[in-house]
Amino acid sequence: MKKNIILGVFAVGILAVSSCEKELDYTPTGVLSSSDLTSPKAIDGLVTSAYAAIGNGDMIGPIYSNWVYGSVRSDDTYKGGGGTGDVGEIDALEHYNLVQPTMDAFVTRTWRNLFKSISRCNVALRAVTGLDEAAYPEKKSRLAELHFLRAHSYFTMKLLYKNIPIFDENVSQEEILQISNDLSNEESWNKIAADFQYAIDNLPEVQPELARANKLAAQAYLAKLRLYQAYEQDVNHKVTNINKSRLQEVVNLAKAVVSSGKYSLSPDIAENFLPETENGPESIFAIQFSINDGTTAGRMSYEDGLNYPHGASQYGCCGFHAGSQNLVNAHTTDANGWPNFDSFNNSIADLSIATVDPRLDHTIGIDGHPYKYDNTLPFSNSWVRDAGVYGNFHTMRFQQAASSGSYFKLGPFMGTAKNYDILRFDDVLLILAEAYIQLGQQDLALPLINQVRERAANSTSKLKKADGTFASKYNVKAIHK
Amino acid sequence: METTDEINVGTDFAFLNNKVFGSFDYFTRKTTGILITPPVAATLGEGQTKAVNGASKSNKGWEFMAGYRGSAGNDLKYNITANITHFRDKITELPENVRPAYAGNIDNTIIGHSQFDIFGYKTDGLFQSQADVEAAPTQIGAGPGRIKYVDINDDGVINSFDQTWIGTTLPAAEYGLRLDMTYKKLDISVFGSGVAGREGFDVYTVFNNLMRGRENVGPGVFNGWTPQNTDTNVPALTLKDNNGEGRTSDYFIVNTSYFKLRNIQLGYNITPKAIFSNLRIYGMADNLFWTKSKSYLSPDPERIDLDPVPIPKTFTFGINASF
Repeated sequence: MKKNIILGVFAVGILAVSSCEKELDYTPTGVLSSSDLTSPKAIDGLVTSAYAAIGNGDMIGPIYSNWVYGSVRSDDTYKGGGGTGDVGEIDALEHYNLVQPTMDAFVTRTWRNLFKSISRCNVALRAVTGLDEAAYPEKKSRLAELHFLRAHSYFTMKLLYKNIPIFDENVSQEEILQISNDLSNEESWNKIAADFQYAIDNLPEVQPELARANKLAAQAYLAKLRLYQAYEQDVNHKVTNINKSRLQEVVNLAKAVVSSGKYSLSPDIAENFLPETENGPESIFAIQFSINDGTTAGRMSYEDGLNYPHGASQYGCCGFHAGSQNLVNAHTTDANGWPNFDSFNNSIADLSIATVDPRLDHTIGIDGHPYKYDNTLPFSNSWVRDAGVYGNFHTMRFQQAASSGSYFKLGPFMGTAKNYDILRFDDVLLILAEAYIQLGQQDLALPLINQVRERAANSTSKLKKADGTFASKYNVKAIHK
Repeated sequence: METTDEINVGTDFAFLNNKVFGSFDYFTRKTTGILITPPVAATLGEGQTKAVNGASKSNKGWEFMAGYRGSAGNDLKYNITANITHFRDKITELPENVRPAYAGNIDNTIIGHSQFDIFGYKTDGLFQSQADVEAAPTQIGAGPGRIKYVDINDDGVINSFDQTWIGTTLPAAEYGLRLDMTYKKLDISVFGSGVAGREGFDVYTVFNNLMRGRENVGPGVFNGWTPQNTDTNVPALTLKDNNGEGRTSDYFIVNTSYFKLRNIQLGYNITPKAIFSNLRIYGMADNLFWTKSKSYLSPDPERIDLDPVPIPKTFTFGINASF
């Protein structure tokens, strides 16, 4: 008996040894290799993943919310949070103090996230190009959509970093490593513009599916790009010339979008910031987010996830992104209902006396004013995390009410399923107006600006307090000569 | 493929009727082709990281142990042992493209250094006046009461090229001591161990000496620099750390050596007449006391991270009963 057992052990040992080599050489499961991605269906999935990537920014590496790079660095808002050291990278950005040795959060992370998006476009472009149109009837549109998406990420990158390496899907990995960021300002704008132009030339005006980029979106985006490009800069970032022919391009592109009749202003500006009315008449291109979509945590936007009132029990974290006094002052209006163009910041606005543009109450939370259109839970100074450093105003526009179906709490942070608009019709009106003004055609600009102002004047129905009165005195009117 | 070549030489010894005994070991180990994951340029997109065999390192060290068995008459027996070890490692090879992921910079790579070495700035006290600031190399964020960094490369500017190797967290030696003694029915044992010649960061300095907007601060800030209070190493209080004072520098490096008396036991044996064949009554204390450098502010020198759960002092009394 003993002998048999020993023999048995020996046999198992031989089996184990002989099978070893084969066991090491297996096809891993749960992994896709490029050879699996040849069918039109799989390749269409690559296009979808390129769409997904533009929404893949994160809290400390944002790629679509400009609350840090735009609002905090401007005079609109402050970092907020728990003192200046809380996410010190934002504090450094706020003070233009970029000597911090560790800027992995934000500056490098955003860079990486944007290049992930660009790389997904290039992978998908190569795959789609290899397909036959007969097998993949969407080929023409998908190629154009991918050019649009790539241009979107490069445009974002250009705004944030200015000097960037730009390459397309035809360069190898080895070549990419050799590409420098030394293109001139003009050259880099033109390269990105060429992608948008490809999109304009090949996209349909209307897409059968919501959220896909269409021709008008590409025209609107190219108008925006050419407007930036029109302000020609020297190497020290100083504007040296405003290029009139670029401005004329802006006018032509933006007019095409306006006259298409496909877009209009939402009656109330609030509709642009509420999930129930997303993909509305004003939205030209938006990053799509979702909740209750069969996944446990949805497909949510977290880039503004630190920015909920800290002291309100329905939220609980983290009090970042505080409105500045300057922002409040800038919303005050004069007896005509016009902005106090020159004097707005001469004193601290007394909101019990001053008249304001209603957009103030769509933008930030103020003590006693309804917060995110919920007048049962008005904003309170007790919600503010660090008033001593950052004041009592708190951001609101991109936040959602805790009672909203789009709101989701993941750990201490909050996500929202509300789409993020990249281009809206009001942007296009103002892009067109700015181009007219720089071309000396103020009379053409004024009606466009007044459209936006009149819509603002009409955007008060969601701002009433529980007692039916308004928290602020609104007075905003069209501007006339 | 990762390969390790190892040489161990050792000797055990005993003399004087085995009263003195001990051992000595010396080892060297060379490892080549260590798997590392080089950083990948962001422009290449996702899924590009892969591990390669690239780094080499060497380890050298020795261990010495010695003991003495003694007795006096039939009643007293004792046993003393002590051990001490020393070890150093050195990175001998690291491909250039992975170096950014390790400490060091272009001028001062980690090659030839231990992975436990500290790379950072040297400091030279605090700026005492505006004149002091103006006389010093250009340092962004400098001002009276701010930490003064040393211009290692003498180019008149304090920047990342002024970082250097400022210490190691490896101790010169780790050691242990043990005493076991019986006297008639009484037994006692004492065990302690520690590290010597070690330096490192004291996280408490950050909280005690620097102002932070977010957290509470320690009492050290009461001694913050002011034009009237210049004899201090605590920088002037500020909520805005424009000088980047949290950066790795020898400001935070202190002597982190310690010795801990880890266990002490005292027992008494009695031989009862009935029921039990033996009874031992004993008392035991763990972590009774430790010594550390005064400059090390954290309570427990063994816990070097930020959220140290202190090792408790434990007292145990008991009876061992054998049937």
